[in-house]
Amino acid sequence: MKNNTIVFIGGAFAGGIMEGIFLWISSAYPGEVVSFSLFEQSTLLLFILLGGVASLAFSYKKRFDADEGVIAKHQGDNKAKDDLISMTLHHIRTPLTGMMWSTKELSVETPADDPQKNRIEKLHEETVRILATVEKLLKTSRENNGRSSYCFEEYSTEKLERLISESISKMKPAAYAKDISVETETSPLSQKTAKIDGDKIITVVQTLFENAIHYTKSGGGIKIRMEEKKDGFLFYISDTGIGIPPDEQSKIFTQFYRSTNAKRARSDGLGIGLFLAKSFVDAHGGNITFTSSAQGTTFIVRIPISEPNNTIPKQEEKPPTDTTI
Amino acid sequence: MENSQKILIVEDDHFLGDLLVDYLKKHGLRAYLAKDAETALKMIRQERPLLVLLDLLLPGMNGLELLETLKNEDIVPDLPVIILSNLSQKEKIEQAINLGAKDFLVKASFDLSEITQKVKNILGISEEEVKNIPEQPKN
Repeated sequence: MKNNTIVFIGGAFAGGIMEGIFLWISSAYPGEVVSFSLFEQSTLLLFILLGGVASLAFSYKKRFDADEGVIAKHQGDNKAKDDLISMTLHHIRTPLTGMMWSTKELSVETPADDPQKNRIEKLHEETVRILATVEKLLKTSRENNGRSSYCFEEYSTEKLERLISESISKMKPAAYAKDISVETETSPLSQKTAKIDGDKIITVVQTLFENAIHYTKSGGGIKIRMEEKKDGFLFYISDTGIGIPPDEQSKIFTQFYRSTNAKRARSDGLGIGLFLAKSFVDAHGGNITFTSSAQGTTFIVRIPISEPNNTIPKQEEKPPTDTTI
Repeated sequence: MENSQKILIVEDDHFLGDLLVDYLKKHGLRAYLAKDAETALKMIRQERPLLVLLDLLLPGMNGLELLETLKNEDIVPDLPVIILSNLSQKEKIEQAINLGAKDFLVKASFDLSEITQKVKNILGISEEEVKNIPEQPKN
């Protein structure tokens, strides 16, 4: 506001000076005190006002152009940053794979009674964990760059249910290891179908299930439910965990966001799991919602379904690039 | 030992390449390395190995291009090729299988003993098939 006022006054002053000069030149008597007629006073005022407005407009245009330049530069910078991140992650992934292989062999070759055995096993576990983190970051980077490639196939609801159940089964041991019970409930399914990218749905299920395990204390429980409603196939995952604080609930799908409860439970998370899960579900034309309290959280994933061979709105498939990292 | 009794590993990363050669050797399989696809192609044309472990991201010609060349020269699928790559996109896997690869292993998802077992399984099958085919002259 202050800036604008200064600009306006400056312009008005300039306008006034210009009009004054004009009047002085047009008067036949430069040396004399010029008395202005009403008409001349009006034009003077008009010029002052015009001067001020022109100056303001000019200043706004300059600022707008500068902003546009900054935005364009930011977009270019962001792409360059994302490319750099992808490149870095890919170069880290290769030696990390070698480290994973080596530490595994070291671990296998170290006898059980060797005092170093635990340390070596821990080394291997941490390497596996870093590699998994790098994979997640790469997926996020691809998603940000619009380089995730989707491969949709027609799935019957039965096949979708099987895909999800199998993913859950593979992760049950991790829940049991933490003394968390897992219950699964399914309902009757129809002959309807859905356009599914299997790998992406598996990632969504894994993310939600892993979160449920992480944020639920030992002795707690996770309930999985799948059912079919008129507009969609619904997958529910409920836990008896620490919940998401109410004032943070609107932010949890934001990239890199971690709620205070999450940070307390796990200091090393990245905050990208839910961001990716939401991106993947959105790409299926579905949505992901949740309810949460201090007694636990329930996530609900809805995937649209339709009669077989009906046209589901065509999912945009992003073309794979040859050298996708 | 002649290359025809060895596994050819096409891998541009020294660390991974050496790890694979050493591990296979420790478990009864001799292996040799090619750091890029062009070198691998020359070696394969000169003397066919037992099997090829093929990375996809390579300097110059990439792994899928090499595989396509081998297919066009009728070397694959007789010569078993296992893709060993960090790429995991479905379309890459489909492309590789369509070009005649026997399997596609994502490096980060398998350890050395699992990779070796896959190699042994495929060689086991190949040897069985080879016994029943009348001897073909090599080009």
